[in-house]
Amino acid sequence: MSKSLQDILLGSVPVVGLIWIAAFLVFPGITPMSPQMTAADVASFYSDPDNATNVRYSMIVFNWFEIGMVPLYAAIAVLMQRMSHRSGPLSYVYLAATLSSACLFAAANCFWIVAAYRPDRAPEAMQLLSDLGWICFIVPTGFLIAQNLTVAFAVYLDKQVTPVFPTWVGHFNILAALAFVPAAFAATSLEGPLAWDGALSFDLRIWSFAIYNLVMFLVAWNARHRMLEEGEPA
Amino acid sequence: MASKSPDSPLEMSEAEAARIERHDENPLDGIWIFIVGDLFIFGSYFVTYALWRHWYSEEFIASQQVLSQGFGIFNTLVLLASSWFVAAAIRAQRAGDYDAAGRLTLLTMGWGLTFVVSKLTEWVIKIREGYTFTSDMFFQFYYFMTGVHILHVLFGMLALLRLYVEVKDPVCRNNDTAESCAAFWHMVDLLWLVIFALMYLMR
Amino acid sequence: MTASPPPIPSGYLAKIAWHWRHNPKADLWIAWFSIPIAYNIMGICYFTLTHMMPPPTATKSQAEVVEFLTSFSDQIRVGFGVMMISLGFLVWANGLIGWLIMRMQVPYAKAWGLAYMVAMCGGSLTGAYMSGFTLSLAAMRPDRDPEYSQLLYDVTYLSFDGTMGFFLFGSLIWTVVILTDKSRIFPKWFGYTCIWNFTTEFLVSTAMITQDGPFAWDGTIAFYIDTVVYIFWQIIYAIVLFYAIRRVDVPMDGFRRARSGNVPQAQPEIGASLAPQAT
Repeated sequence: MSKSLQDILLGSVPVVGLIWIAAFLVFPGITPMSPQMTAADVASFYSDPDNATNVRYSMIVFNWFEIGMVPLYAAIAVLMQRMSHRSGPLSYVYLAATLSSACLFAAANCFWIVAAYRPDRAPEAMQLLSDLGWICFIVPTGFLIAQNLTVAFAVYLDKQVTPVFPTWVGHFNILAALAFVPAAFAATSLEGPLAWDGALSFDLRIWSFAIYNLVMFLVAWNARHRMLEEGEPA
Repeated sequence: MASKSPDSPLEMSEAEAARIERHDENPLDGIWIFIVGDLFIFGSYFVTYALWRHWYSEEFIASQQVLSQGFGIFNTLVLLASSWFVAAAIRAQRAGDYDAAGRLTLLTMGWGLTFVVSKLTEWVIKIREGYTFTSDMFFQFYYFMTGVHILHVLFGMLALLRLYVEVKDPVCRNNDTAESCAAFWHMVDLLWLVIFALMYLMR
Repeated sequence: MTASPPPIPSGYLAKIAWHWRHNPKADLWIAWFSIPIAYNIMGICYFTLTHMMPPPTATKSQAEVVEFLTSFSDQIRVGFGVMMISLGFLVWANGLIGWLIMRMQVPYAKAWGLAYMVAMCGGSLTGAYMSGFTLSLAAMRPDRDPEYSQLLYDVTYLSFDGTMGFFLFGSLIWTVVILTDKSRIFPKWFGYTCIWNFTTEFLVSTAMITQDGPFAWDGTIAFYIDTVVYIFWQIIYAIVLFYAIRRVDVPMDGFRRARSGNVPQAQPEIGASLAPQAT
């Protein structure tokens, strides 16, 4: 097989990443809706044709590509099987955790699509749908934390001569896990940094997720190509 | 954490390995734990039933009149007969008459199947008459307890099937499986006797 | 072959450090420890903070639901915040059990293990996360239209009790593999206790129909007896898993061989085609 074809799996990841960023810029997320908005405010937000269009088209794009990061996670899971505990449970745990977070993101996506679909619904119902979308989007960080800690443990336990991932990847994953903790408490307040439009729950979560994926992509790419150069089966 | 016996896939002592070897002959090993626990769980259901019957005795007694005692007695006789057959199957197996043991096991399963069919017929008749799960509290208990019991009859029939397969296989056949299986089947019978007494007889 | 690891030191922290460095099953033990820790955190949250256990009655009127949400608003929201994090660690427990199933002497052991993992991880989405979202949302805005508050309240408890199929199949898979397994990683009697867990999932279905009495979601049979059986089973499960990890045979790749000293090399596992890298 030609060399370029060998990289389709990981090569798709930055493409999907760019699409995600583009959809995210269109989506109302770049200035997240405040949880303090009244039901009437929420209803008028979705009734505004500009907003409704943005929500619809960005959600359609997210819907197409919401599972698109899984090749990266699958590649990491396979790399984890090459670490020194090889066929232990950690790589399966990692894959299961990533699938669960993707499913919850899909649920959020669905609620927003429904909200934008019939904006003339009763304002209370609009608020409920919008709330459900936001909470499914921001709050479920438990799987992400489990995912990060799994990689961290796997890296720390990797005692080969040339470990698959360098040790700092373990530290980095612990850090990312810590960054996801506050978002789990987003439902506790309607204002301030913990609210779902706040600095801790929204900005920290989104940025750490983006940086996490970028760094893990680079690390996985390097590890894979090092292995290919060392002549290991691709 | 060194393996004590390198040939064995498990880390265990020789005595333990021998024990496991012996126990593998009985695929239903440990059924007594299941039986005792099940009796506890069913006991708690019976206590709950007794409490509610005490609190709503008039409603319960009125609804109990609706149950057909004919079906109750028939089902009881069917299960008692099946218990007798499974006991006869064990006696045949102990005597080394494996053909008879296999036949009797099949007959036990036949009685079990008769019970399930008759019970479902009784359900269908009751539902046609308009007595459903949501009719009143007694019928909630009735459908629940008989439903859980049918589930156990089905588990028991799976165990009997396993026993039949073993009896037909000269390498695997052993008395332990037969005894475990029969113990479970007798428990299923015993539970039905309690349900019959509580629901059909105590009016 | 490398030298044997140093002897286990005395002292609590030193022991932990030794196991971290030298125990050939360190990854399994990490996964095992998530079970007592995560389940205890979850149990404490469920019983003291989030009011999921014991559940409030299904017969509450809309006004009573609003009152319930108002008075426990903070507890519920903080409780579910903790839950959202600890729930993720259940994936570790499921992964560990699925992996142990893969090591059994059962036809298609690997497929059984994967099926178990998928079933149990899927169940946590609606069984635990959905109920967390809806109840914390309801508690977040108790001034919402009471009709919607009641809707969220119903969704919470029905999705919590109503995720039956996933756990039913998970327990069923576990029962079947334990009862047919020849390697006896788990004792046979434990397989029977899995039947109880699988049966309780059947029996909770009455909570979808009735609102009052012993079969409702707060009823004696559908909640209390089921929960007692479940907690009892959960304790047995943790203990049995502990012994299963001690006796399971780990594939002897370079890592485990280096860690367990001069144990003879086992047959390489199918699929692990890489040459073992001795350290």
